[in-house]
Amino acid sequence: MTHLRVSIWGSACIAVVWLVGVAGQALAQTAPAQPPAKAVVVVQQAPAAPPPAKAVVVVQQAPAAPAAPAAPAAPAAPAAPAAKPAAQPKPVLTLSAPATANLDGHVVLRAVLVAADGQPLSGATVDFASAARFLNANGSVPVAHTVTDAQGAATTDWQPRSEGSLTLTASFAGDQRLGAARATTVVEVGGDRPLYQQQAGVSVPGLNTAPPIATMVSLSPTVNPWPRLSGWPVVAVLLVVWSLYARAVLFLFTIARGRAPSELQETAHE
Amino acid sequence: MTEVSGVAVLEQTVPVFASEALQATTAESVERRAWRERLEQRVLNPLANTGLAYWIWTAFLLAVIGWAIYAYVTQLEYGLIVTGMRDRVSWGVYIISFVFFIGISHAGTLLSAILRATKARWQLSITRMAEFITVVALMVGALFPLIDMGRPERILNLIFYGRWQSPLLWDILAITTYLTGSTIYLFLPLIPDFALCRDRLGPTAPGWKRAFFNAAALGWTGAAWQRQALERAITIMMCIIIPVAVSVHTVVSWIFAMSLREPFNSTVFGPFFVAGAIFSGVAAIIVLMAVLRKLLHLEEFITPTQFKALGYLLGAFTLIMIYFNLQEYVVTGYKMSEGVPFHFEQLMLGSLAPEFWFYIVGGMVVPGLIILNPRTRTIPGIVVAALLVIVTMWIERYLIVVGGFSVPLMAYDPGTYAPSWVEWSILAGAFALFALIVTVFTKLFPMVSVWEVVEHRGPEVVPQIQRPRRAAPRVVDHVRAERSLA
Repeated sequence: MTHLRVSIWGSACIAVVWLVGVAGQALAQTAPAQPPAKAVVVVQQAPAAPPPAKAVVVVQQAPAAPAAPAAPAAPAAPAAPAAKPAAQPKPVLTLSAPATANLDGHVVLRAVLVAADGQPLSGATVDFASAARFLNANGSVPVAHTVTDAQGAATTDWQPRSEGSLTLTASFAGDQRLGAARATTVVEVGGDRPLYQQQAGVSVPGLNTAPPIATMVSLSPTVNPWPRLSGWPVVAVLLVVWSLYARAVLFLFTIARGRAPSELQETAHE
Repeated sequence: MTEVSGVAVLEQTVPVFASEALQATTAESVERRAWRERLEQRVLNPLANTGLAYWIWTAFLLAVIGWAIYAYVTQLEYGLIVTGMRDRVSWGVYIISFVFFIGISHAGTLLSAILRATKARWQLSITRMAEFITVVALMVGALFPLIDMGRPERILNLIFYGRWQSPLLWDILAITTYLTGSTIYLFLPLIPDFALCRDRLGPTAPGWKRAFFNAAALGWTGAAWQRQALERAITIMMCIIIPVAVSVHTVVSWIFAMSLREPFNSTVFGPFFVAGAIFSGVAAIIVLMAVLRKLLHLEEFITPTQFKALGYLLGAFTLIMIYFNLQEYVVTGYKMSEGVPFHFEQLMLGSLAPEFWFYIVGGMVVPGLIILNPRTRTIPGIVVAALLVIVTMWIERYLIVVGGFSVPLMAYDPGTYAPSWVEWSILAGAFALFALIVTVFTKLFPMVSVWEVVEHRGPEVVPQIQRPRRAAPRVVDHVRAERSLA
């Protein structure tokens, strides 16, 4: 009986602990952190914008109530920068880029930073980055750091380095006057042109082709006056060797033919 | 011809071809005819008769190859992760064996062509084996780059998207050219021997073999114009195959030497690889010659003289290899550029030190001493030296590839490499495939060029190394002759 009683009480305790755990987990999922209020960045895709696709960043004050955040904002929310004091005014950052790009092309990224009242913010540093994944690590590759001009615009030139759907980010880290802001957009990069071409070998005018460089080709395409067959010395050597092979094999046909050709008849008589 | 106490006196030989020589003439001595018949019988016997040991040996080789295929299927299924290769040491046993087999292939045709061009008579009975080694080693070696690819179906990309400027594409072209040329060069002198097989074995051979001999003989009758055509074809191939053979291993070395990696950063790699290839190739010929001589009972036709001649060649290349190693290590060690201290330390004192010192001592010093010493310069001694050279030349390629890739290019830990069971199994399968092809070939082709031996040598000839052709009889060892007579 003692064993039975211990078992029942033990099971009951385990059940209670389990229920408490489940309930706590459920509460933790539904109830967000309590105030102090945090800045939540809501990224909204500009309606009917493509191309170019635009991302609009709206900085909102998080409601005190444990309500779920707006659904479209969920992906960007975890990446929000460190919260600034609530008292700082929140700027609005927009990032625009072409919806599609080619591997060998150049893309102009333009971010515009304005205050909440719509006034452009000049002299602010905007960081551009592209998302990257290497092995099992997710990270970002800095593209440029640019200072906004009088219109609040920061522009940079970017060359895609890999194909596929690339996420680009423009972020303003905030300063003493303003809070942080961030915007993202997606660019579909296509094309199969090799980015890197080795500049190897010696360019001999009239004999081979100057080694091309990808950036030169894309920036200032020029007509190459030399023939494109840069491997012709290899081809020439192969032609000589294989033609000699063919000559030797022709003698086999001579043997197999069963009658002497005239040239061999003459030398045989000699 | 007279024979005195085993010392033969050279008889002036008449340059005739096999079919001509095979026609017994009244002028031909009885002894010479008997010798020729013994030669034909010895050489053709393996083509007509097959014993149980042959099938057991073949089954063993097939079992090893089967295991290697299982290992390769495992690699295909799981990828190159089943090998010991990783991102830092990304070349391993496969590329090592590729370089090794291409090296083995070198000596055969090259040696045969050089000796044929210089009219060296002593090599006549071994040219066929040498040429066989070239073709078989190329066939096996060319498989390794394919095996090294995790996705072998992408091999065609190398052709479709290959760049003329890439040594990899040069390598493919060079090996294909060399394999084609070696096959032609092997086939040409086989034609009269195929005719011999057709005439001697045809009536009793199975139907498929009879058809094969008929087709391969190309209607050879031994007519003068046929001999001329054959001579011309052999001359063309003899001339072209020598530069092609040298270029092949030079291009193989460029795969390494043209990369920006410190241990490969050498201008001497081309001749170094060519010398190493001939070195290991000569050793392979010696071993194969010893095995076939014993198994096919060719002692009368493959004599110690040929072993000694090849032994001298091996000894000469031992010195050349020592010279190249000194050149390589002294020059780079004097400059000690970045990466070299690490490389030297791992080679001479570190993880690769046992292999390195075994290569230096076992691959060059010991074989050199064996060949230099007249007491050890016997057939067993030369074969032992050749075996040491073969093993250590594989190790040398291991040191080049693994040692080279282990040197860090940036501030990270040095790469490490240990071959997995998959790699060892595939390597064993490659050697078994090599042996199997040779085994099968001994049943299809005469392993001694009968017509050339009959034409240029008689039973009385003691082959002389590089001896100029002369009409007068050679000098007899009078001291031994008199002693024997007494």
